[in-house]
Order: sequence, then C-alpha cells, then structure tokens
Amino acid sequence: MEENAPVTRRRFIQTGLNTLASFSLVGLSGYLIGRSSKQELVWQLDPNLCVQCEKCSTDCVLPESAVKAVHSTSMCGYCDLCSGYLEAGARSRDTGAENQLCPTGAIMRTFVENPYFEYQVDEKLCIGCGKCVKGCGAFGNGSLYLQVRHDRCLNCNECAIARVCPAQAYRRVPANQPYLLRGDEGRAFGNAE
Amino acid sequence: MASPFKGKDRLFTVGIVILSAAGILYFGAQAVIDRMRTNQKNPYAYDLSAFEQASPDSVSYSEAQRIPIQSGRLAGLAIDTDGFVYVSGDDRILKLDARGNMIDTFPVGETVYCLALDGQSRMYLGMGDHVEVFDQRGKLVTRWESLGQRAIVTSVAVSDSIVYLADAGQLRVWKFTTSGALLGTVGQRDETRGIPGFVIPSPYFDVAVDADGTLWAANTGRHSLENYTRSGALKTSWGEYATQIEGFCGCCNPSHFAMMTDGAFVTSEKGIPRVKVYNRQGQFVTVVAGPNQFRPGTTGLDLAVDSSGRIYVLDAAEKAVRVFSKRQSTPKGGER
Repeated sequence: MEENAPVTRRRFIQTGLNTLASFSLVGLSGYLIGRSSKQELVWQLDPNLCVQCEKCSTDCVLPESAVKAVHSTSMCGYCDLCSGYLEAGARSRDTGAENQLCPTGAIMRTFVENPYFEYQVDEKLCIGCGKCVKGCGAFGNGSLYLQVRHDRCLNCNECAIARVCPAQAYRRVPANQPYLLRGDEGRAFGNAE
Repeated sequence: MASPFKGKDRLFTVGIVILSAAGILYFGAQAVIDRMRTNQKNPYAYDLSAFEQASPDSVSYSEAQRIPIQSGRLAGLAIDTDGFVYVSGDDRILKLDARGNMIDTFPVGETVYCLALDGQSRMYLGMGDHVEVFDQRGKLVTRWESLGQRAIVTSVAVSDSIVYLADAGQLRVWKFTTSGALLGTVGQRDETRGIPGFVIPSPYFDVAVDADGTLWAANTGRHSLENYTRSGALKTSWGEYATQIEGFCGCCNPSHFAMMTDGAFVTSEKGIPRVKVYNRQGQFVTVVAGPNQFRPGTTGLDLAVDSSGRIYVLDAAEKAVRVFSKRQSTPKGGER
C-alpha cells in the first residue's frame, strides 16, 4: 500500500524542500505587503519623559548633536526673571554672560514691555545640553524643551542617544509627523498633550 | 628544516597581526575613554543644591501630623471656623476632622482646583472657568456664570460678604457678593492709580483676606504680595526675589500663601519647595518646612492655618495633608 510505503531519502528531501519553498513564499509575500504598508519612521524625543541628563549633547554620532532646544511661545510666561535664561543665583537680570544659564549663550532675550521679555533659541549655538529646559521646568511652564531636528538627524538604525537615554524618552514616530511639540504649536501639529 | 612561510607570506602575516593588534588597542582605548566620559560629572548640570538647604537654626516648626489622603489628584485645601479640614481631590471634596478622621465626602462632578468656606461653612469651589457653591451637606446651591474662555480660577477667598476669585488666565481678581453678583475686578494694570498689574507666568495665583477683610493677592511674577482696599486701591505690597531662603525664588512665587491669626503670612514656593513664615511687615521670620522635607519637583503646596496657629500643607506628591506646629524654642530673631 502506498500510504504505508517507507519514506525514501529522495522523497523526504523533496517534501522538505517543497515545504520550505512554501514557507519562504508566504514569508516573502508577508514581508513585502508589510513593507509597502508600513510608514517610514524617524527618531524623536518625548519632552514629557525627558529628564535633561545632557546625553543628547554628548552621545549623538554627529559632532554637533542633532538635538536642539525649542521654545513654545504660546506656553512661555515671558518672564523678566526667566529661570531658563538666568542662573538660579544670578546677580542681576541682564544679558551679562555671568548671569546666563546657557553655557553657549544660545538663548536670546528681547524686551517686549515692562516686565515682559521674549526668548528665542539660536539653533546654531545650541548644543542640546538641556540646561535651559531644566531651569524652565523647575520653576516655569516647561515652554523650553528638546527635540531631534530632522534637518540634522541621520536617523541611524540604532540611535546612539536612544541607546543611553536613562528615561527611555526616545521613540520612533512617523516621518510625516516627526516632532512632538508642546503648546499651541503641538495642537496645530496634532500632538496630544 | 625549511620554514613553512616564504619571505612575502611571512611579511603579510606579520602585517596582519600588527594591524589586528593596533585595531584592538585603538578600539579598546576608545571604549575606555567612552566609559570614562560617561562617568564624568555632567558639565551642564542645573544644580540647585546650594539653595535647597535650610539652616536648622532657621526652622522652628516640626511636622506634628501627616494625614494620608486617598485620592488621585489633590489640588485645594481649606479649614472652616470649626477646625474641619476640606481637601479637593478629583471630583469630590473630602471633609476631615483635625485628627485626620474622614467625616464626609461630597461628590461634586468636576475637578475642583481651589476652595474656600464662609462663616456658614458653605463651600465655594473653583472649577476651571467658574465657581459652584455647595452647602455644608454637600448639596449644590448655585452655579455661577463662566468667567470666560481664558479664565483659570486658581484661588477663592471669602470675607464677610465678598468672594474674591483669582483668575490666572485673565490676570485679575474678580469680586462677587456671596450670592454671585459681580461687583468688579481688582488689580488690573492702571498707571493712574499706581497699580502695576498682575504678572502671572504660571497657573499659580493665590488670594486671601486678612482680619480686616481686605484682599491680599500673590503677584507671583513680581515676587510680591499685594494688599488692596475694598475699593480696589493698592494699599501696600511686600516681597522680593531671592533664591536664598529669605526671598521668593524662580520666575513666579509664592505659589500659595495663607494668613495667620496675628496677621503674619505663611508662604509656599515651587521650584525649590519650601514653606516659610513672614511677619505682617513682610520680614522673613522662620522656615516651616525646608526643601529637604519635600520630594524634588513638588508643586502646588496649598496652605491653611487653624485657630491655634498650626500650619496645614497639602502635599500632592506625598498624597497627604501635613500639619506643622511650632516648636517650643524659637530661632534667633524669630519673634513675630
């Protein structure tokens, strides 16, 4: 009887190869379908998880980090005594280097009206250390925060900063919505706070 | 015996070995340097530790009691004339006696961010953009009109017949009768009357009434407490910025304050969490609780004082009402 016939080596190999080919075909189809439907993803830093540990400034593969401070003007209190701009023990509230918190002087302060000042980040000077973010968050509204700038980021397969981030604040986000913004800017961008 | 390698092969092998050794040395050194670098002290650290110390000599209160509160979110604290403690948490008001025993729970439907009580223990609850009034049994008496889309009611204070509402969104204090009729606003910028205007960078804006029934408001962006007459004129103000213990730190403090029976002030701050007492002239007297007594990053330390001078601090991070009472000995210069 054929059903009880012994399995020959040739038949065993033939059946095995057929099965392997079937699985490969199914796997390949699944992979191609998945790849065609999958969005391209990029790295981004979740400002709600960030602990401003300074690793963004030191661990990026770029000589000058792709992470920069950004500022939500809609959240800012426009304080004269901005804790993201001035050292905690600053002797006076002016633009003197000894009073500034930023180690590279990347935050610019412009008088609006008494007692309000506008603050902007000079991205060319910002090294992404997050010191201003820590100062702003400690006393103020958290309008200063860090983001991966995608005009600079190389989108490494394994982000060097994400690898060492102690807060695991890095995650992949869709490339067509690459920022996690706060305030009105975030709402306009579709980021839920 | 002849060598297995010819001259060129040997040279090639030696070269490979030298290159490999150089590579191992290079990458090993890199790894060591990386490790040393990651172990370095953070050169960009934002260090407040120098300001997070309160000299033991300056502290003349101690924690006498801690009342744990089972609630998701704690926001407001008040004490009525009978000494009952009211805490707003989530969508309910918790009523406790002075020992911390739960007396009652009043569901109110919405999150209450601040509250105050009048002489009849009616509760005035700040709920975002409006106020709701509940009687002492927790029954809704009336719901006042919204103060506008930008309104953020952060504090309520009640004198005999007037209710003051601090609105951090619209930078003013609203003045109502206890029945909800609008009487006007206080503290908006008016150079002709010498009123500088409220600067409120973050949603912490507290008000209280003193024994005379006049309004005190925390102008946090100016680091001062301002006193207004019943007609809305600026009577006096005190307070200054300082990261040191004597002043108010950061962009916007004090985040909360309460009046003591002798006219002194209890204040709390955020950023560097600390609770202090100032006398009625605004001079620093003593520390009630220093930064080391709170978790780092603690905010929203709402305050209340009972008739015996015990200071109640709502510590949302610890999910507790912490009660501080004065020690027997007074620190140097600590007379009020």
